[in-house]
Amino acid sequence: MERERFEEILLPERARLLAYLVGMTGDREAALDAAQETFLAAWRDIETFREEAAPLTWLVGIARRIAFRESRRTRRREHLLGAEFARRGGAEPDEVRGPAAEEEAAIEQREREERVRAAVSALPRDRREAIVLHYFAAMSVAAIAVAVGAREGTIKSRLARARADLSRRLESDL
Amino acid sequence: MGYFKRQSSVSIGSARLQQNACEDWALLIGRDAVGDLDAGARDALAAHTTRCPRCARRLEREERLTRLLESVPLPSWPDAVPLFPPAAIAVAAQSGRRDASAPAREERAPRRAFGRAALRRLALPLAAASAVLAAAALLARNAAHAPPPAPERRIDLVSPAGGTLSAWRVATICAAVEPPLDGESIRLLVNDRDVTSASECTPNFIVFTSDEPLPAGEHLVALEIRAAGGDRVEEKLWIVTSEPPSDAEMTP
Repeated sequence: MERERFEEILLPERARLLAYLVGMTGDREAALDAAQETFLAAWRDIETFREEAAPLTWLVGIARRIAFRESRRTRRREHLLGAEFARRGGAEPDEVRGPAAEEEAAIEQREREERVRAAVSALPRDRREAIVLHYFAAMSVAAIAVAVGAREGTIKSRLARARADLSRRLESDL
Repeated sequence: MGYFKRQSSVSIGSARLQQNACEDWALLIGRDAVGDLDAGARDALAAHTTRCPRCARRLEREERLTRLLESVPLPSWPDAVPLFPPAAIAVAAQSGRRDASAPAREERAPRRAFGRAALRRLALPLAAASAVLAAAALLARNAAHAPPPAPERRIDLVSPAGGTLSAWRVATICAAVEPPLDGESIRLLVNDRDVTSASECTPNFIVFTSDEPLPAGEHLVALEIRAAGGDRVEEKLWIVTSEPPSDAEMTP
């Protein structure tokens, strides 16, 4: 497949791939790095792509190994940073605030989104992956099963357990 | 109340649910939320929730959770960020490719048979079996293809490749490198722990056998080749799953 076809087929999936990687790494910068690395690996392994397959399913199959590594790095970095703040006896860094003129509804929506992301990132990895792929990247259960190499029933069970957990964590938003 | 008098239970699949047993219906509501109910079960659930305010609230709550999760917007890809890592694009530009915005596609390495001495050093039966399989595959490819251009990709066969290990046996992880290492170093990491010094290494192979079984779950394996100067020239990542013993394995 030449570059034009590569872009034509895979480029439309950029945002959904990024949604998966942000959800799995919990860090937008790390997710962008991982997405670039995924496209590079996809370019190198393009012979293994069957055009009848769903491009996002194939990309996620590549990205999940990279996401696995990045999420470990991010968590380790957060752990080290947390330990450093505790050692210094300092407070956590100030939150980055949006512009003062931003409408309240938009701020509320952003805060709700942050709460959802935080609740999802606290899930065990396999359940987090199912939630992120199904709701953030809008993949069907069948496509997720192919991408992660599990049975559809397993994915449904992960989703159901994750939802039960999220329902408790997001009590105030429901 | 008339409904419960007329019909006190309903069959869904192999389960028979009591109309007033809301905990049973709650399970169904959870399954419905992930699309795990057939049409008949959904109808039965809909009929129940029209009569049971408690389950109706539960269903509504599940629907709100779905809407909440679906309300997270897709992130946008920043215009300033290229599709590929800048370092890869720079390499492509230096190599004079016509389309420098795409990184050079790596070509497969010419295949060489593994040295017998190297194979003899692999004492573990599983490692030896992997080596023999790898050698056979590579020899077959050698015979079928003329030598391709200069190789870039080195790490070729890995075992278990995205596969499964038993969580009650020690784990053996191995990889083949072709062409063999020549002045470069190799590093094997399992869950970010460097296990190179605990591995058997030859210029063609690296084999790691864990002291204890890996805990059940997914484990990230990374193999790096570094040039003499310390720069990483290649990395391969793969996930292996350690699974608890099956019932058959547990049976004496």
